[in-house]
Amino acid sequence: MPGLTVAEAKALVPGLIVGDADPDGDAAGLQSLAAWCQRWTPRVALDGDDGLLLDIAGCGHLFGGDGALIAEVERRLIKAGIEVRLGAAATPAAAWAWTRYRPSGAVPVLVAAEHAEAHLGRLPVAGLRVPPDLVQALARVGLRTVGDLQRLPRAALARRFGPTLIERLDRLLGQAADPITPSGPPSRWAARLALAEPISRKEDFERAIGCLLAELVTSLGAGGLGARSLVLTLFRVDASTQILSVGTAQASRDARHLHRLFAERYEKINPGYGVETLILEATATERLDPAQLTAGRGSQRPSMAEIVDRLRARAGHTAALRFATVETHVPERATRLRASEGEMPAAGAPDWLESEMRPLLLLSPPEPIVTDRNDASVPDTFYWRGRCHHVMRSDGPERIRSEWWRDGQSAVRDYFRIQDQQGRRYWVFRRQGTARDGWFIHGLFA
Amino acid sequence: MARSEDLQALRECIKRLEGPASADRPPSLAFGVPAIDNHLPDEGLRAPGIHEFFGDECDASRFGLVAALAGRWSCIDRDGMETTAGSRLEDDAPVFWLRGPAATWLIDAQALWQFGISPQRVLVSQCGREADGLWALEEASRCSVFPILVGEGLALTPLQARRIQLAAEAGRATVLLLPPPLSQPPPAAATRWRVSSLPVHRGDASIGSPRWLIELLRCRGGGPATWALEWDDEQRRLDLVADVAGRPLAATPCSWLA
Repeated sequence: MPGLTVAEAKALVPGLIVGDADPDGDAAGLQSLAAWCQRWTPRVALDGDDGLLLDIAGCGHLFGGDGALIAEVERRLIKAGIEVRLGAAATPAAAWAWTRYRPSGAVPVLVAAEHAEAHLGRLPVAGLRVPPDLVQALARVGLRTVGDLQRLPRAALARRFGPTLIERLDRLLGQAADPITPSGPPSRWAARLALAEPISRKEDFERAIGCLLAELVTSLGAGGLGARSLVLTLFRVDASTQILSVGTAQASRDARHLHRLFAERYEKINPGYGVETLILEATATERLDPAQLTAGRGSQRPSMAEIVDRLRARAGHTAALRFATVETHVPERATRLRASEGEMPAAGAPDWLESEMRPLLLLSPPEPIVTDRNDASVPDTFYWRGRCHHVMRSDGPERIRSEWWRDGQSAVRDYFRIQDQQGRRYWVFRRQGTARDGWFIHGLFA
Repeated sequence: MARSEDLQALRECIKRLEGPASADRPPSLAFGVPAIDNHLPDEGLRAPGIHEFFGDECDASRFGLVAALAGRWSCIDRDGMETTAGSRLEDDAPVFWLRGPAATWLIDAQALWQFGISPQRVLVSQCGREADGLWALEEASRCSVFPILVGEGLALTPLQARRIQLAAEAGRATVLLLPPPLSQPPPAAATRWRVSSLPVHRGDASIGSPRWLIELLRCRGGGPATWALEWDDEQRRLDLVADVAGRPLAATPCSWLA
């Protein structure tokens, strides 16, 4: 009974166990349960904060009929240790009402249409999900069940009690649309594998993923598409799920290549007490013409896209990067590393080339050096990383200004190429115009 | 006469015993400098195989030499480029550059172009963990997509070096390694080099073209030697330098490298 204090509740029930309410934890638990229920149907919606709506239209044939599916759902939920009240009906509103308000002893499944109306007619008005004050108003007039409401003319009811009552009644009886919003959009390209026994060994996962990939690749091929992103969901016996995802740089329908990408993830699989259902979805697809596929397979040569995908699958996106030259004079910004996407361009000069030479190795950020002179000309000696260097030769200066539109200040750098007594060549600059002026070393020439 | 024939037959026999049959061996990576190429047993760096280049920490000369060699392999045809027969595998071949956890400097894309490598044909892999870097290098060398690979900042044990060599032979790739400066080298490399900078002695005060002192420390099938090379920027090739006066003292003595 809501509103009781703990002391009163303990007085009523001597052996009561009291715990803190955890609404966030409950919500998270309900979300994970909803994800787990997707093993039966992809259309699972949350209902309030303690219920789930599963749309099993079209899923019954996989389980031997709707009745068998519902019995299976109940059995598995009870086996997972979840106390559940189950009810099934032809519309979501009817299912909601039947679950909560059915008379004791009635069968939970109410799908057959002829008797459904009679059973639904015996439900109390509270099963229509109307506000409690409306329920009380109806009770004052003597309308207590749905059947009473059905016998009255609709226009009179709408005039007296408002349009929501009629709308709820229509939804209950299936005369108005009652859409549910599933927690995630169902994926069109998916393959599902339900196992008789839960699996936890690596070899079993390999075979299961192989079967799923074969099925998915066939259906993708029929649609002329290739997968860019795949999501594998593992449904464990203890009502939890694990999700593995894999991406490719180019659309692919090659089952062998995709299987190898998943092979990098095997050690991340945590089977728990066992995995009994696997669902593989292609969440991002692109057009892939058959001509491209046969060209790659015919020559039997592995392609750059495949090795890029495998590197990324194992070591993250920094494992496959490419140089990109940026149109800027500031040296540390001129070269960037970006993720490798698509085909590699043909060989040739980079897009942005400075006229002056640049060192092969750059230091970021530039390190300060200690010089013997602090004027504009090249010093004779400088100290860097604990060593003394004597400058024998030098070239320069090359003046590079900072990008005032980006940095907000206008600093000036005068670059010099210098060679020390050992023959090593450095790229140093003298900075002016900032708070920390002075000499710095920026790179090494080869 | 018969003796030289016997010697030649013995050399062939040893070559066959040492590695895969030379009939289907891809052409080796030549320096383009006849003095060096004639000294090396394969007329260049053996391909497939792994080769190591050592140097000091604050010295970029070994990077320059590796970039020049990789540029010779993967460059597009340029006029005036001298090549020994069969030293270019295919035009526009991509290069794989692995940067291990010990790689601290940034690489400038424009400087790569100056050495003859198209920066947009380079696939760079930066792995935070050494195990991932080794795996990436092994898989990239095995997959036959990259004829040349550069592994920077990886310290290899003998077992790891052997695995990479087997992968390179399976994928017909050449791996050029740039180990961290103070690491223990494994004995599996086909050649081991030490590269340092040489000062330029010219009339004017300009710093001139890059000059390197390269020492072949260990070579399978050949002996150690030393050369002084200069990189010609305009013609993009390596030349032998006549004068080796002004050899620098080694900054850090490493006895085990000898």
